[in-house]
Amino acid sequence: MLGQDRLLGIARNVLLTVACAFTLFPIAWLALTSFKLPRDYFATPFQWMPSSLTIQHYFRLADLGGMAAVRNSLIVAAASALMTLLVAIPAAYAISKSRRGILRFAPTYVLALRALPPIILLIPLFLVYARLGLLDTYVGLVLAFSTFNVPFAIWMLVGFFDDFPHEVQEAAVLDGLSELGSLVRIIVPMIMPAVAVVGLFAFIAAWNELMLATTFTGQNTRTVTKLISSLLQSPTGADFGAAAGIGVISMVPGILLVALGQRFLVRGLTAGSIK
Amino acid sequence: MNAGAASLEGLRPSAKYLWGYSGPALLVTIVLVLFPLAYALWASFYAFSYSSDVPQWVGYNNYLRVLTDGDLRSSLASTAAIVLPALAIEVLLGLGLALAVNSVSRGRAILTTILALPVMISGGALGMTFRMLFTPQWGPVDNAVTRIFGVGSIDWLGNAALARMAVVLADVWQNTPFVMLICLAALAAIPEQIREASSVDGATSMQRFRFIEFPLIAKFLLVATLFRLIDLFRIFDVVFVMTGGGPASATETISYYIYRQGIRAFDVGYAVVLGVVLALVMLVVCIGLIRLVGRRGQ
Repeated sequence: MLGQDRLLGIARNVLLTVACAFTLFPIAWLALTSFKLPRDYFATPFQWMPSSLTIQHYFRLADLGGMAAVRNSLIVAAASALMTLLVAIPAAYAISKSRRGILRFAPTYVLALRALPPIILLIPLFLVYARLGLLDTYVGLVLAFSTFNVPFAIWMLVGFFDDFPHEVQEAAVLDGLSELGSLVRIIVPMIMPAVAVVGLFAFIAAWNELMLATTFTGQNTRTVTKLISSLLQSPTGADFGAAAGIGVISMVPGILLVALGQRFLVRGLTAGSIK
Repeated sequence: MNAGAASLEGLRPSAKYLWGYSGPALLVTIVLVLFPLAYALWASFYAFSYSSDVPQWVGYNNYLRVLTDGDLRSSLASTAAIVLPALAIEVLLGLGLALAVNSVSRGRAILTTILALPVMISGGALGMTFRMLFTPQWGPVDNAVTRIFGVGSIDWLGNAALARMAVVLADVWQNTPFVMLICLAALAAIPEQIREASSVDGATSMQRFRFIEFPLIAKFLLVATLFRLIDLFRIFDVVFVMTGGGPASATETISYYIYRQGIRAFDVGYAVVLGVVLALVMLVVCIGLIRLVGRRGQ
């Protein structure tokens, strides 16, 4: 008995060690590559530690439109998160209060949209955008991102509103606040951490989005993900140093969310279907 | 705002919540989801081309093309060749890691954080990283393999089977933690007394897993599996950056094929029909998911 358990313990430690190494290696390697001179990252046999560190790739990245791409991604992701919250907070509140009429179908709709392949919206949106002149604009991109961000945020927020104690709101209304007033001045401030996390998820979903961003952006609004896909496909040969640099920049928000918001991760990843 | 609030209060409760509070969300849904879907449905009966502004009515032709489309069949096969191994590995490994992490006595939080790091990384950055990892000669994977096995350099992403394997590996790297996190949450919900009782009764850790933990987390594992299935089935970003669907069309998944038809070849009507095919397959999966989640609530 004891022997079996000890063997399991050893197997467990081996598994965890290998898994941690496997998880960390690509991130660490990419980050190191972005600071290596080409002669070091091209070296065979492979060298972990470079002979000298450099930030030349990041400077070159700026020349290749890296700054603009980061700025565009920040603008679009922040605007998308803000718009998502403004639309989703009242809707989630309403669904939590009243599951009548079409609102009854809201959960099914949200789950169905989770399963709907984004490509099926991409093509008609592309045609409409081309006609309305929304291609290569911030507005077009922010609106396109809201197709998946709004239902996601509603679904996450409904759970938080469901958990909110009714008595607190009733007290606020007795003190003379309107229902909307109690939502804006009492409920939302009290669930602010949850709202912030939902906003962060929406921000990262927009920051990470590739398919819509590649199709809808051009010279004016090129995002980080679009720059990633173009750097490796350049006709003059791939620029691996700069690509590693933009890859690292692209990973930062997602890694920060995991490191800081672990408590909300499961809820965010499954968008409320498991509580 | 006060005037708006006052008029909102005057409505019947159902109308107030539906048109007042949910109004903006309904507008977004109608304008950005339902209208494009309706437009797509209309477009599916027309043939588009770059040379003409006016789409041509073709009736059911786009739908009939599905039946004889060899590229569609090969993209479905490529999708399956990537989805099935990735799903199997992610579910088994995710469960195994959850059990392992759950059984350590100290450092559980930091272990979870390290293992979960890839889960929110963009598909673009993921594809780029793995494309570079698998570069012939200086890429670490090729470098290690040529040295350890003494073989010549291998063009990993230029070989159909190896390219699929590399895409699977990239997805496993990113999404195994998703399954792990859900299983960990389910394991954390098991009351401590149940575990204690079982060890008092002399159960080994194997028995405890088989008869206590597994039955209690099985439903969550199934939900995680279905979520992974849905997301894997429409996999696009990694493939787009990592292999561009190649070599030939070995990693051209169904989403990528639709993208190529609709955006690159501008065969919009047919791309929409393909989207419908994909959506129908997903719908079947999704109904299963909703049933499952719904049953859990009862």
